[in-house]
This record gives sequence, structure tokens and C-alpha cells, in this order.
Amino acid sequence: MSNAFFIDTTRCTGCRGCQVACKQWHDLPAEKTENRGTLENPPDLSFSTYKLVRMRETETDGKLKWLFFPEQCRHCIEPPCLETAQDESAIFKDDKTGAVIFTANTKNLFADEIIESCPYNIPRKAADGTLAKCDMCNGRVTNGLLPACVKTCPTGTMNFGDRDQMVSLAQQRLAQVSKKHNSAQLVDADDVNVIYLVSEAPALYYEFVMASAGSHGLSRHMALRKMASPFWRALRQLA
Amino acid sequence: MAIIQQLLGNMGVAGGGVNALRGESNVQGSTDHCLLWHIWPGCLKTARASNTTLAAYNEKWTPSSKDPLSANWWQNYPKYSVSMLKSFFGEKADVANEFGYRWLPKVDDGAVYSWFDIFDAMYKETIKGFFAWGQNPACSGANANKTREALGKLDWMVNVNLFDNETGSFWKGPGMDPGAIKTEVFMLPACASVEKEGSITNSGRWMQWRCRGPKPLGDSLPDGDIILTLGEKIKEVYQEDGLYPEPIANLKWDYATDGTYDPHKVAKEINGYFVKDVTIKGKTYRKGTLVPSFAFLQADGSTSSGNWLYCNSYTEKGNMAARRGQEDAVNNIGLFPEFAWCWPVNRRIIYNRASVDAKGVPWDRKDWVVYFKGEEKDGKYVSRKWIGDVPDGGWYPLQNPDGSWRDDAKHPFIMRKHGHAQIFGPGRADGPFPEHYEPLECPVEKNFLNPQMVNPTAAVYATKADAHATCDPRYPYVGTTYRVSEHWQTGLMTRTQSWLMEMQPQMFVEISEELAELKGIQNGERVNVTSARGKVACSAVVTKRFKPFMMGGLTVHQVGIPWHYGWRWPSTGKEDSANLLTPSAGDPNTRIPETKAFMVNVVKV
Repeated sequence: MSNAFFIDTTRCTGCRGCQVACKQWHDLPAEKTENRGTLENPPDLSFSTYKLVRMRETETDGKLKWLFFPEQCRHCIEPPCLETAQDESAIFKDDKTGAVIFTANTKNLFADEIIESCPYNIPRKAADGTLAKCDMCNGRVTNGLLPACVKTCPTGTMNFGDRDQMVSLAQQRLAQVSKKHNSAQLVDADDVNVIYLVSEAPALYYEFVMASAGSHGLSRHMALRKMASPFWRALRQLA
Repeated sequence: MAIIQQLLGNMGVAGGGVNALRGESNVQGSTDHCLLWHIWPGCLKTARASNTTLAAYNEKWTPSSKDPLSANWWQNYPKYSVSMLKSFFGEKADVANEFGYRWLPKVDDGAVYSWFDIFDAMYKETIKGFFAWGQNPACSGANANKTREALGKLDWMVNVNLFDNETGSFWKGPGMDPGAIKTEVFMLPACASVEKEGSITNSGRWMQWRCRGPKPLGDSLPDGDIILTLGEKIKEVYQEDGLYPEPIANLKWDYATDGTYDPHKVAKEINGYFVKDVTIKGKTYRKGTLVPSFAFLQADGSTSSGNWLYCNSYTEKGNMAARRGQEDAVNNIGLFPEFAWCWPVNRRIIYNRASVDAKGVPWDRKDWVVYFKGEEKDGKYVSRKWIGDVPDGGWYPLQNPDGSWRDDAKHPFIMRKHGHAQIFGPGRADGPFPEHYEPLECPVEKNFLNPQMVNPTAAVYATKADAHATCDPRYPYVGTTYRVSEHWQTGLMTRTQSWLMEMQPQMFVEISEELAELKGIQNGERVNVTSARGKVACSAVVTKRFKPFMMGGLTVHQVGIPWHYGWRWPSTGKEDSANLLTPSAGDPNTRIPETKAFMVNVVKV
């Protein structure tokens, strides 16, 4: 049994405590930013930013909604990045927690290939090609602590625990939220260990909320990836 | 708000009342202990010049009611004022010198000494010295340009703060000529709240004792140590050759242990002592022991209490505010009576007897606050017992179970003269009822709700730095100010934090898509926001969250700016305070500044 996050975006106020807590726990440097005409900052995930609250304004039926999406790695149950890397010293999964972990050896991988493999556009590379992303605060979790982002969340948006518990909490909240929001849904719940509840169409929050819009989700993405992987490996050997 | 809550019966009940959202964790505590000019500790009145003697002062501020059912709690006023004076002056306070009352400064009748008035006086060069203690007025007060100019007219200023700030460095700020400024500035480095021991009191009046976390860094000190040391030195100087030295020389100032400030000694002083053996209802309390609660305070100089509201917080049983009991009270509504301590006398909900009917039975049977459970005999209550919260006075209910009225009961609103809630509010400069007025600066030439345009009793100031412009085409848009979660107050503790600056790096102005189009402003572009008083450079955030609205047939655009920035940090020096724009206009009672509605322009750079 693995762990999972349940992220209830209907409760998110965009305070970004999670974003700072992540930087603090991982001791990541701040990026030099400027106000770009939005309160969302830094502009993207990066080698030193694993968690980012996306902010979008949308108007439906004349009603304004300010949507917040605390973006992070989904810790996929069958991670395409791991499948693509085929190198357990660089990308591996902690079977106890379900955390998908990138090590310093990711430097030896084809970074762009790993990034391309991710249906959620999560991994980011350093100048030397080393890859980084959310590690589920695996060090904290294996020592009985909550991930830093969950610990700091004051609104109940960020939840963490046994996958069974999180799934059942997610379904409970979905049932409640669905009463008011027709579009409410759990995103890719069967494929990932970071389950988001959204109350509006996923595309309104951010481009990469779902594995892919429409009928083919992560499973199909994975199948395609597996079919193509011998080809990628061949390419790598050539290089 | 208070009127609405009263009309709804939401006083003294669980989840009722009006909870002030404070800008800082200890606003309640600091105002309880005399942050504001018009009240002494414990809401006692600051003495007016016309209160020439202690007797006259007590007479003036002690109310009386002819209703025998009114507790009229303020009838105890002299006990609290005399006990406070005994705390201030200790053994030096006696009947002959009116317990030191004559040594205290009195304010002129009718004069106002608020924040605005202090800086106005500095600007007019009638105040020449200034302690900026844990504040950053060069950014935090409305009309900051006037404040900054005023600082330049001082002889000296002492800046007590964690870091250098826009106040301490005003003389090298934007538009300043350091060579022309004579103000001598001293910096006393203070440590942060987590680096010292003491208490905070939250908006629910819970006084919570906090231990010190990390030790203060470098030369920084807890402000208790700073003020104690300053006090000792000032006393020395006054004793040598002070002009009228008594008020300073006679001040009780024994709050050090082993040469450093002892917060427990101050907390005990605030609670109060028996200063001689006192016998009350047959029980003798020894000199030097702590007073159990304010019901024991005396007007004859036999007790001390720095703040009667806090009497009961630090007793012979120990430091009540340091308690961390996890048990809820019997009514299970989240009172947690043994977690910390709440004034008065650990009562968690004030006026809680308003939550019961005349027979002492709660209106709300589920989430009740207090419940009368005295014994009953032949339709009459014969013993007194309340359960739940500490009742606001333990008297019998107004009625017996058989419906007969008792003459030994009290009305529930015990701090009001006649024991009742009041909708009519006497004593307000613009009372008795609330009224809508337009702000000092507004986009319309007419108040659509009544013929009086602006509040005729509002505080406005008359120097050339107090310009304002209403219905002026140069400033056509409504401006408002607010906070963001990434920064705190003037940003001194957050603008120096790289992770927070990463998220909110620059001063910005939020404008509607419609206004952006009208002005040809691109999202993210730098613009200037101007008012009759100043100019601030901002990044434009074009948002759907602002919309133009109609007012009297006129399309009105509104823009919003956060107030946390200042030129000192970030180091570019290009971000500055929203208060350069806001007007120094205040409400007539408390001088709350009108920083939420004023007129601006937004112009491309």
C-alpha cells in the first residue's frame, strides 16, 4: 500500500504557504522574479521550484472564478519517467510510500526525453542536465512526518495519508462538491498518487492538469510510451 | 456591526459578538495596556486637564445608576485607578500625594493626540524628539510623504526595530537631501517576538504566555530590556538635575532579575499585589502576595494592579496564561477554560448572561454558554449555581421558575451604566447613529443618500502636505489599499525574505481590463499611480477581479494597491509605499485613516 495526496482545490485560497514550505524544507534558493502582471510567481516550475500555485481567472455564466491549482509531481502509479529512464539509479519508486524519486544520476539521462515523457510536464533540468521535481518529502514521510506542503496548509486543501484513506476522502468531498458544481471531478484518480479535486473543467485551471484532455488518459499515454521505448533506447545508445 | 449584532440577539452567545480582525497578533494586548493616547491601562480614561485632583478624576469617570438591578460595574472605577497608581509609583504613592495622580501628565480638554496629530505636530515643529518603537511610520501611516518630511524637522529620533527601515533611513530616502537634514537618528536593535519571553493577547482576549525560542542575535535585545535600561538611565539623569523630577524619580522600576528584564515581574505587577495586610470578608491577605482577582482591589492604596482587567492572570496559583489544559468546558463549545487565560477572570464570552432567558435557561439549548442550575423550592430559586463559562456576574437570574421577579438579580450588560445593550451611542463625535458620507476624495459631486457630502466632524489637516482633490479630472479613479498574504505590515520582516520576495517581488496596481484598454496599458507594464499627495511606480496587473461600476449615471473605475513596500528593500530602491498616495483624513472618534477610498490616476511611464 502506498501513500497518496488528496488536493482539494475547492478549499485553496492561493495563500502559497505550500509553495514556501516546499522551498524551505528542500532549502531551495529563491528565483529572481518580477511582477509579470499576475500574482503567480515564479513563472514556472524549475530545478529549484518543485511546487507552484497556478492562478487563473475565468468567467462562466457571468460569474467570476479565481481558480488556484497547487501544481506538483503526481507520483504516478506507473510513472512514464521511470519507464523512460530505465535506470533505477537515476529514477526509482519507493514501494513503501509510492514516492517517485529523482537522484543526482538523472544527469546521465536524456533530460528532454524524460521531460517529454511526463504527461503533466513536471520535471525540470539544471544547466548540467540534472533533473529535479517534488520528492513527496520522502525523508519526512519515512520518518512519520507529513510532507512540508501538507503540514503548512491552513485550509484543508492539502491532505496526505494511506492511499485508501485519501481515495475515500476524495470521493466523500467529490460527492459534496458535486451538489453545487456539475463539472466537479477527481483528476486521473486511478493512475496517480496525487489526486486533485477540481470543481470546474480541468483545462480552466492550467494546461497540464489532466494527463491529456479527452478520451485517452494516462493509461493510453503509458501504452504509447512503452511501445516507443525500445526506439528511444536505441536512439540513446546511438548518441 | 455592533448594532446589527444586538438587534439579532447575537451578544453573549456562542459565535456571536463582533470579532475584530487585527493586523498583528498582539493588538488586543497592546491596546489593553495603553497603546492609545486616550485610555490608560484597563480602559481607564486618560486624565484631562480639567480633572485637577484624583477625587475630581474619579468623580468624573465613575458612572452611577439609579436602577437597583444594574450592576454598573464601573462604579468600582476608583479601586482600579488607585491600584494602577500604586503599581506605577509603589511606596511613593500615598493619600497625601493622591497616589501620584498629580505627577501624571494630563491632556488638554478637547485636544486630540492621535497618530495624525503627532506627525502634524512634528511637521509644524512643535514636537522635536521621537521614539519610533517597533513601527515604520515612513511607510505605515497615511500620507507618508508628510510623515517623511516631518521626520526631517526633528532634532532627534530613536528607531527601535529589528532592521534598518525607511523610517531610520528617511534622510537618505527618495527626494531627500541628506546634507540639509539635521535630525540625529539613533538605532536600537531589537529582537523578534520569538526571541523573547512574554505574553500576547489575541482578539478573543486570550492571554497566552510564550517561552523564548532562539536567543537574540548580535547586539539585539528584547524591548523589555531596552525600555528598562533606558528608564534606569533617565531616572539617573532626572535625579541629578531634572526639572520637576518627581514623576520620573518616583516611578517604581524594579523589574530586573540579575540585571536583565524579567517578564514575570512585569506580569505580576500587572496582576497586582496586596501592598499591606488586608482582611476581606474575614480572610487576611498578606502584604506582598498576589491579588486573586479584581473583586479584591481597593481604593485605599492597600492593593496594586497595573491593569485591573488582567487581575487574576498571575496569582499565588501561578502564571495562568502559561496553562495549556486541553479539556473543554462542560458545554463543549470550544472554550477550553484551562488553556491560557482570558480577561476578565477567565470569562471566555463577555455578557454571557445575555445568552439565557430571564430564568437562566439558554436560548440556544445546543450550543449554550452558561446555564443556571441553582436549587429550586416552591417555584423559587434558593441557591446560586451557574455552569459552563464563568458567568458575567454570578447573581441569580432575573426571574424565578414560577415567573416572579427577583430583586437580587442584575441585568446582563454589566459594563453599561444601566445594564442594557445600547443602540443609541452617546459620546460619539458623529453620533448617535451611523450615517453614510462620501469619502473626503470621491468621484461624485453629490452624496446620493443624504444631503451632507462628507462627514462634517471628520479629522482633516491643513498643512500644504495635506492636499486633497475631489471630483478632480487629474485624479479620476478610485484607489483602495489592501494586503497580500506574502507580506506583513510594511514588509520589514518579509521584504528581506527571498522566498517571499520571489512570490511578490514588486509593488503593483490591479486594474480592470476595461481601464487597461482605455489607457492603453499592457499587462505587467510599469505605470505610475498618482494622487494629490504623491506618486508610486507599480507593475500593472490587469485583472477580471476589478470591474468598472456605475454611480449616479457615471462609470467609475477603481484600482487596488497593496501597502507593504518601501524603498529600503528590495535593494533596487524602486518599490515604495502605497501610503505615499493615501490622505491624512481620519474618522472623528479614533482617527482611523481613510486609506480604503481616495482618488488617483494611473499613467504610463
